[in-house]
Amino acid sequence: MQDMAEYALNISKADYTEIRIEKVFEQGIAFVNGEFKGIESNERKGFSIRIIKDNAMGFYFSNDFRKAKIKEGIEKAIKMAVTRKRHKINLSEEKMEEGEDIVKGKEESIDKKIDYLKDIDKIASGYSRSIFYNDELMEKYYANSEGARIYSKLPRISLHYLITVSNGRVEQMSREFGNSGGWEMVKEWNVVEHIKHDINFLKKLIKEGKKAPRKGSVILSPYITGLIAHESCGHPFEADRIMGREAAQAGKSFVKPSFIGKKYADENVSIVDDPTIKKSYGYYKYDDEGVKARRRYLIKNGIVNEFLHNRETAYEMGVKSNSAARASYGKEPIVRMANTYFMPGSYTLEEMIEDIKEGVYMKTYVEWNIDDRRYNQKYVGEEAYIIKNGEINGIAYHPVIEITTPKLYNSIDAVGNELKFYPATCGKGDPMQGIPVTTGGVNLRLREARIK
Amino acid sequence: MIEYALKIIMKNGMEGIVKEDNIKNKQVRFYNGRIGIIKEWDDKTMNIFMAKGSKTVSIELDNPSKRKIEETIEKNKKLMKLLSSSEFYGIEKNKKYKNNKIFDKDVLKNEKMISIAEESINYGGKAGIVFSSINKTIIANTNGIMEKDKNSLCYLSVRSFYKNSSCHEVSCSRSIKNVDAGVTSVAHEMAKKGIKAKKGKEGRYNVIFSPLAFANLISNVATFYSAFYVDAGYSFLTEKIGEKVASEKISIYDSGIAEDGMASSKFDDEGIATQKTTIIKNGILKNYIHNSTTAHKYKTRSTGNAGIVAPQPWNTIVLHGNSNFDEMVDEIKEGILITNLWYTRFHNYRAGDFSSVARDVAFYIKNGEMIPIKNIRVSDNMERILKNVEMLSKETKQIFWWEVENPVFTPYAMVRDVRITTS
Repeated sequence: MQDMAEYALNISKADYTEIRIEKVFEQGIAFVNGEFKGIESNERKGFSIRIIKDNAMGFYFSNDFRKAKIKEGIEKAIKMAVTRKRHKINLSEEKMEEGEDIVKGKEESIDKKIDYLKDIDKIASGYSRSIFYNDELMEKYYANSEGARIYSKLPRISLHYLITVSNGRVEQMSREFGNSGGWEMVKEWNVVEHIKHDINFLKKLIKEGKKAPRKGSVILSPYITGLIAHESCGHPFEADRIMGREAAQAGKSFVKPSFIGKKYADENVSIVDDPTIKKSYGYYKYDDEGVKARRRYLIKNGIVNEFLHNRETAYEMGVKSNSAARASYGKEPIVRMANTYFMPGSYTLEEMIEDIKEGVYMKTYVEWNIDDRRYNQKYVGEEAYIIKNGEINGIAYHPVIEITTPKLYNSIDAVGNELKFYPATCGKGDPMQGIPVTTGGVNLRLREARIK
Repeated sequence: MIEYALKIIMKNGMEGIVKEDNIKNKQVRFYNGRIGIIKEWDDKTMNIFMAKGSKTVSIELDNPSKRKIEETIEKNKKLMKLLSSSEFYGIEKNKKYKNNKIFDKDVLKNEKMISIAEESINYGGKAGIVFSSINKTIIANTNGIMEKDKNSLCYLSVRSFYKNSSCHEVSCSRSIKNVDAGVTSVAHEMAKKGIKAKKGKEGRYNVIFSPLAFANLISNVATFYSAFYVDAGYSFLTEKIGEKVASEKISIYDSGIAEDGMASSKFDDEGIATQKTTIIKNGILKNYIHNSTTAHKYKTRSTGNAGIVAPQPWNTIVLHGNSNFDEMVDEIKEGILITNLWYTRFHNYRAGDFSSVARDVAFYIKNGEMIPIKNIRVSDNMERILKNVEMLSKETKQIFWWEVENPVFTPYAMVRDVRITTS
């Protein structure tokens, strides 16, 4: 890998050159209603070159590893960059890292993996169900003309299931598990317990689900607040959205550069995005521009503290990169989140509930969406409970919160003390780049929300 | 290479399919009214499927050497011994290939792509992409198939902004000659009409969906008629073959042979000829789409839609109606026009309950007057939406972009009593 990278950097006549060599081995196993659907494996190895020439940017990818192809790629990227009048692109000055990041993960044989999935599947026999398992090992060497030289090796593992329970009505529950690491992470997921719980809950939901009150306080669990932190804080704080680079695809942001230092949320709210959390699904030590990863304090005590930047947006806004450049295999590095979550406060769940006269506790969701400016969002509860006079008082049937971002963040009157993380795959860029992230956080209580 | 891989598979007494794709993609990306980056991908991959009895493995390799192919088949042959049996009943015998689709070797020309982007910018396109692709494919299987295909596509996806308003348009074809930057001016004019938008009001409305918006809903329906997703619990069309699932005005086809369909292909991932399959005819669900395995399970024939594991849609075609946009506006008296949708998410795949956010400009329509509105969401049920389609335009358009990943040919659609919600 290193030899090819040095060759590329030596022959390039661009003002700035970077090369990313990636080797990925992926394996996927699917079970549908107890039937094993076979194994799919991907072995990919390719190089991505990004150059800047006369302040214009070009990108080239190939999986043909001949030196002649690397030379052709650099020449093409330069030619593409200088064709016409373009955006003037500069990168912020940063300390370029040299180092490596090797994460070890326990390997397991294919028959053991299949046995494990069979065991899980058995728990849900009698119900419609699908189970998708995936693991991957990614090796990457990154080098640029400013001195960055980084080798990383990172295993990831994930599982997703969908269970359908029908009894007059049809209800579904889906869950995702995922970590950086290997087979050792599977034990921590407790998938069997989750499936048992979900089947029991769905049966009860069909039988006992009641309409939620139309208005009241709402407690949202970390399963939902993680998604909220990701969707209506992380995304609108991506500087490339704010600057309009994603306007035709992943969208814009209602957040403006002038929001820095202004109030965004209740003062008890702080949100961070932290790539350095070991074992997390969104973990990385160095970003895809050679910058060492660090925690980003997006909101500090309700105030907008910093946006997410790569070197391009950092230069445009006159700040430093905060190591948010990430690229999917064979794609350009763009501004991405890693592990985004609400920081813990002091409330226990019981304390939050006991203060509520009437309201809802939403533990999981089944549907959500948000506009491209990240202003109007909707969450539909799956496992949800009615609260009356400080106590849980039955199951709520799909309560819906449809709320604007300012209203949501300024309605938070209690922040929980127990931090939990959930994996997700975030989509952005064009062509689409799905990237592993963690959403997470704590229980939050919204006062006087409209419930549908 | 492909013969080499197939020879080893046969030598080992296995059934198999080998497919090689040589894909060249290029993208010109612009934002804030200027080109920001031009990107190119040169990707050569080989897909190998091997089966011994009912034990199967699928492998995708990047640009493999003979040695790599040999090692991979050997490694996976050993792995197969450890596997449980899966659903596999052999690859169906092939039908005759049909191939009258457009191929344009010029789609990747830099100058042409850049010209489209610059023209679009001049028409008021603030942000967007011009994307082109040529894919040269060869497939062989142990049933004796050895066939080549080549496909091209090009599309412009552009968003125009005017003050706080925006509108999105696309122009899609298999030939760069048919990609029209002029759609940008349509988007620009609509964006201008959207300024001073007021918050929409909740309720049930007769809604006109533009092709861009309706394609978003239909591309989701396209996934739901794959037999795999039906079995996996991801479809409201489960156990409804022969039943009414849509208005009698709705007929939907899956076509791998559409002349200008961006997803058209001579054969599927098993080497079986693609075809035009009736999915919904005058409101009645007629077929799911199949590969050899799901076809065997459903006691029918493959529709030429493999995906080895999951059948995948090609081009989805919604049959046009007899109306036009102006007639729809006149007919509904009071209602809403939605020009684009995004983030369509289901809260129950089996029931079809979902919501989708109206992105870009939308209008409240009263007695022909169009008043811009914002912050609305369609929160309804997919089957109910299909059943409530009352009018379809004569004009249809091919839609393919970031939010519609399977091409859809669709007219404008007027749907009765759509539930609209707001934040």
